Amino acid sequence: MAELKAIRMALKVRRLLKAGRSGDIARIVDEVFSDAPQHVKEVVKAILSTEVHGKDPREVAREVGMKLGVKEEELDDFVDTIMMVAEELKEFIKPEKG
Amino acid sequence: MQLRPVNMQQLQTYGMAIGIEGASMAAYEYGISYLKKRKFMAGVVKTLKNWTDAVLALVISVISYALLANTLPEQGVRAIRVLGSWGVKEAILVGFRYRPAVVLTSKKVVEAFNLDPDKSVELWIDGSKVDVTAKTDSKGYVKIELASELTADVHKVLVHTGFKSAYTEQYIE
Repeated sequence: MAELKAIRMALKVRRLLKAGRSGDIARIVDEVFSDAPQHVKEVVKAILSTEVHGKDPREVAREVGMKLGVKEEELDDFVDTIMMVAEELKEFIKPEKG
Repeated sequence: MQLRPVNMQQLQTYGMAIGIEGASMAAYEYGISYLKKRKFMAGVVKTLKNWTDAVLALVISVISYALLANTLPEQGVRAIRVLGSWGVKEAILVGFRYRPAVVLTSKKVVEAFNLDPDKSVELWIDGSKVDVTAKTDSKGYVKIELASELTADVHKVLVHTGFKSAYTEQYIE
C-alpha cells in the first residue's frame, strides 16, 4: 500500500510540473519535500533563491555553503571543494574533439 | 498507429545520452560520498540528517544550471540536470520512508531512519559490532546513544533491522 501511495505522489508531482502549475521554486520544493521537516524545506528554499546573475561562482558557492550551515571557518574549504568538483564536472562533460 | 523502427543514428544518439546520464549519476553518487567525509559537512549532515543526499544533489544541480547552462553544450546541460533528477528521486524516496539512512549526529549519537518498524537494531561501526538494545519505532526511526565517544573523525557506520539496512561513511566532530 505504501508503494502505491508513493507512486501516486510521484505521478502527482510529475503532473503538476508538466501542467506548469508549479512554476515557482517554492511550490516545487513543497511538493517534492512534502514530508521533510520544515527546517529542511527552509534550507532548500533559501539556497534556491540565491541570486546568481553576474556573480562570481565562488561567491555563489560561499552563499550556498552558509545557507547549508557550513561553519564560517570551514567555508573556504567548502568553496574550494565545490569549485574542484565543478572543474571536474566541466572536464567530464566537455565534448570530445575530432 | 503505425510503428516506425528507429534508425542506427537515432540509436547511437540514444546510446550516448544514456551513457552520459548514467555515468553522471554514478559520478554524483561518488561525489556526494566524498563530500560527506569532509570536515565542513559535519554541520550540514547534523542539520539535514537523512535528507542530506537529496538536498545536496538538488541544490548543486540547480545552482550549476543557473551558473553554467548558457555556456554549455546540450550534453553538458543534461549532465547537470540528471543530478537534479537524482535529488528529486531521493527526496521522494526518503519522504515515503522507502530509503533507509543512517547518520552520526555527534560522536556519541547514531540516528537511523526508514528501517523496519518495531524491530531490534544491529549496529556496526568501522567493521566491529556494537552491543545495543535499541528498537526502531513505528516509523522505522531509532536514536542510539553509544556507551563511549567515537575517537576518529571519519567513521563507517552500518545499521540493520533484519531486512532493511543503511550505511554511511561520514565525518563527525
